[in-house]
Amino acid sequence: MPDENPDARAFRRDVEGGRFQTNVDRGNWRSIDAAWPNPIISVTAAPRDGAPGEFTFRFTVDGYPVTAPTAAPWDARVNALLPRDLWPVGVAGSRVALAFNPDWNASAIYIPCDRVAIQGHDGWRDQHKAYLWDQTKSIVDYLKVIHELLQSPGYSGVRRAA
Amino acid sequence: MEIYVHRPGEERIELRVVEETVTVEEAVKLRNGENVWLEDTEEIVDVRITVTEAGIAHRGHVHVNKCHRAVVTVNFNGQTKTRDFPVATRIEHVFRWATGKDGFPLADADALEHTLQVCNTTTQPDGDDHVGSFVSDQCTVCFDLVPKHRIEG
Repeated sequence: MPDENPDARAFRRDVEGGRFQTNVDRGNWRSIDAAWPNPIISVTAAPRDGAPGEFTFRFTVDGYPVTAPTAAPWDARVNALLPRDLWPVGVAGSRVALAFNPDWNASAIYIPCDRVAIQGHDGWRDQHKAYLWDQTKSIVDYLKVIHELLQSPGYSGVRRAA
Repeated sequence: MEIYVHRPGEERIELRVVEETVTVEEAVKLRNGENVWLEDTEEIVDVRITVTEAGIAHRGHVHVNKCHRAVVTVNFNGQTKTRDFPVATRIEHVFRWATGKDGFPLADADALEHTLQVCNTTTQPDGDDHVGSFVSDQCTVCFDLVPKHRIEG
């Protein structure tokens, strides 16, 4: 694809690459829409009463891989931000509850590898080095964080059970 | 068909398009001194036979390495445990050993809040990675068993 933006090419290589695809094979996530720079990816969640089997995220990945991504929980049926009451929810005080907080921001996730969340949190650069974004990271590293949270015991379903 | 090739190095897992009729040697682009294993096995694959004859399925996983076994050290709370594993062993098996009765026995709930991290780095392997992908030239690998971080503040 000779006219492809270099950032888009780097992203496509990572999505087509082994680490991303083996997780697709394992059912951990799946690509819904590859549109640049806002791909949409669904991540599998552990079964919980009244909650979906996956949550969808609309990423913003311009500047990839130098610039960290950001991801918004997304309603793919209507192509809009996921309503707050359908966000994943965690047990009070859990890592899930801290990460998925629409009261902090309704279009980003509170984790160090998110370009929106890292702003104003210089302390995270020392406290959470393993979760920081740098250009050696890939979209897989961001997705791993989300997937692990949605599979953890602290994940309890959606804010308003269906 | 496609196969996953695991090897030490930055890429860790390469997804390669190969013909079913090529030899294993060609399929993995074997280099001098390397051997091939199917995932989670200890028997070296005959690289002269075809991918199909070797029993490698579409999107099957193989490991390629100069080491045969990895000497794995895990550090936790000031203590160290060591054991060797075949290089094609998935990290999730190493983690289960490290947090099980022969490692640092953690209750299930505690184990779920911990993960392995390569010593002196911030690299936390995926469960599907092979332990051989992280070995040194001396066929050793060191992990710290670390808590998963609570992101606050």
